[in-house]
Amino acid sequence: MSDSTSGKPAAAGDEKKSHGVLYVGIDLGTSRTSVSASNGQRATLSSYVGYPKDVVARKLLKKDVLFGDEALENRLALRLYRPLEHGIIKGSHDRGVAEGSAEWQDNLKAARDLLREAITQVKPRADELVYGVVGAPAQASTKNQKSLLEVAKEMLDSVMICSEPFAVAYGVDRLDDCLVIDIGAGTTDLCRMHGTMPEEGDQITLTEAGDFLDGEIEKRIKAKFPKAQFTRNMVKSWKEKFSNVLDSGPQVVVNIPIEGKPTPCDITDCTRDGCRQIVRPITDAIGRLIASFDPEFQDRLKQNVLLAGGGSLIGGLDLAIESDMHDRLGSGHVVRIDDPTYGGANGALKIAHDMPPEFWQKLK
Amino acid sequence: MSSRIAKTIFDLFARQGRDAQVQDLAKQGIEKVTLLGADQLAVLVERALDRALEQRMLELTEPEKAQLLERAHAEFEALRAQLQGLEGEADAKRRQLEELEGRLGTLHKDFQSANASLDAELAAASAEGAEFAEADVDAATLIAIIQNAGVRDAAAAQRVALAIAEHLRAERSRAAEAAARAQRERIENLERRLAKLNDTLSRTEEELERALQSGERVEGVASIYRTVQGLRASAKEFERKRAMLSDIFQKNLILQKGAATA
Ligand SMILES: Nc1ncnc2c1ncn2[C@@H]1O[C@H](COP(=O)(O)OP(=O)(O)OP(=O)(O)O)[C@@H](O)[C@H]1O
Ligand SMILES: [Mg+2]
Repeated sequence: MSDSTSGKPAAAGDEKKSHGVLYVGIDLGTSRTSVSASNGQRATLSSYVGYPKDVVARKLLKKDVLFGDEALENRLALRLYRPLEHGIIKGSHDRGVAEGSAEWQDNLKAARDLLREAITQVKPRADELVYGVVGAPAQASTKNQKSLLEVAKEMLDSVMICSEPFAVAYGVDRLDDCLVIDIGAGTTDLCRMHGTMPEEGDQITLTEAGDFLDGEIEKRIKAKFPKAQFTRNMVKSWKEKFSNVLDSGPQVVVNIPIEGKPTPCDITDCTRDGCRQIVRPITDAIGRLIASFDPEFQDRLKQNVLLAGGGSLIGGLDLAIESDMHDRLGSGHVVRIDDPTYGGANGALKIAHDMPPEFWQKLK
Repeated sequence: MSSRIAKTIFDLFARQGRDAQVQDLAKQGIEKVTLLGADQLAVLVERALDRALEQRMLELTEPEKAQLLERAHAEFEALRAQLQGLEGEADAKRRQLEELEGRLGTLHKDFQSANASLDAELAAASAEGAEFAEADVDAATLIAIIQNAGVRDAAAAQRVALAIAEHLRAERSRAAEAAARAQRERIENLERRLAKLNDTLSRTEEELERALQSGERVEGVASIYRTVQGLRASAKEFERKRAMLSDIFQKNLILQKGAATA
């Protein structure tokens, strides 16, 4: 229960651990943390960590620390942290919260607990070596990466960090230049990949992402059904169930209370038009990343656009972006990766697996 | 060396074998020798031994076989008993856990109800205090009552009224004090109970924690890999992947060595 207990099996010698090697791939996101492991287990939880505010809260919750949705549900009784901001530990920015400050320390502890929980959820055995690759945002500074490493080292026998978009691309065997678009909750990150490490100009971050779409859809439902009573969370779950940007998408009818009475409401146009709001900003950003690329390779880049992240699950989004690219950039080919929620984690797992043994050994 | 037996045979040859100088052999007119290494010899002897043993198995008499069977059976029974013992232990552990969890549940309820009583007492205490303060008797009313009862002398009426008021005040403050004392005691009692419950609760929780750790240690799910893997040479685009992985490693080496010396 104490925060210093490492999830790593207690000081087992290497001989004891020669039983097996567990690889884990980790994607630490602002809103979700996902882990895939070579024992077939995987886990995803929302990136919230909460500690009971006082003794009574602790007694009632019967826990020292809560995670994910459970933390969110009990937030009134908790000191709640969302320790990762844009994939890096809050407070490890060069600006902003000073290192060593109480807030930085708290977030670091929360990040550590979150990572421990995520790794625990994939059930590593005590007698196995655990090697992990952690995906970090492409623009994370050296200092940010070091904080991530520090946290991860407690849990893993050996660990490496790699850029998140590279992990996504490697995971689906796209080694050629490509454009990875990760549509998360708070941000959409576009990254031009050539080689393993993107540089400054390779990345564009948009605030048009999942949360933004929830707002757009909400606006439209409010306008169409002014008396309907619903919350942003309900909108989000409708989006996740029914969203589709194609004209040919299915009809969406949901029951919404109007003056207290559940009433079937057709929100097809609201979800469709709401979700379409992300297409143009994305194609614009693709255009910018392509225009500033070596002209010889621009076409290849256009033909190699990968969609990842939870937001890429919007029905028909790949087709919609592709068709917008044709209209405005002349051509384009967009592929949504399979299993986008685990795209980063699966890629990191594959990198961990492929990493030559001597490299792991040297980093121990 | 394939087995312990072979190793023994090998050692035997090494110890007992005799060295011969090539020149000596030549002197004896021997020009050519067939060489058979000690390890080869050992393997041959072992094989012969194996075959002999196999043969022997076939030759076992019925009583001998029965005896062997019986021994195997006894061993099996012993193992089964051991297993049952382990299962029993696990069962006991499970029961202990259930019991602990039950106790913890009850304690939580007690704690909550004690906490609620304390809150109620505290609320009542402040309400009663307010009541006592409000109930101060008005002297003018008293004088009027005494005069109505036939005491015409205004000064006398005032004296009596003062005396009665004084008496009432004293009585009231005594009563209030007693009530407050009783209340204080109840509150103190409740607080003590709460502290004790809290204590028990923590201890039970610790016990449960320990029981959980010792009893239901999560075994985990084994990885599909027994050894460290690494990119296969036959992998698609091996060279490129290898270069990329090496690049990631180099960056981490710098990052982590830096982190270690920083
Ligand atoms: N089936 C779905 N259809 C549409 N949107 C979805 C679906 N499933 C999840 N989402 C949205 O995806 C977003 C979360 O994506 P993801 O889990 O990739 O976020 P994240 O990477 O943790 O966030 P960030 O990139 O901001 O750190 C949320 O806005 C969620 O509503
Ligand atoms: Mg993400």
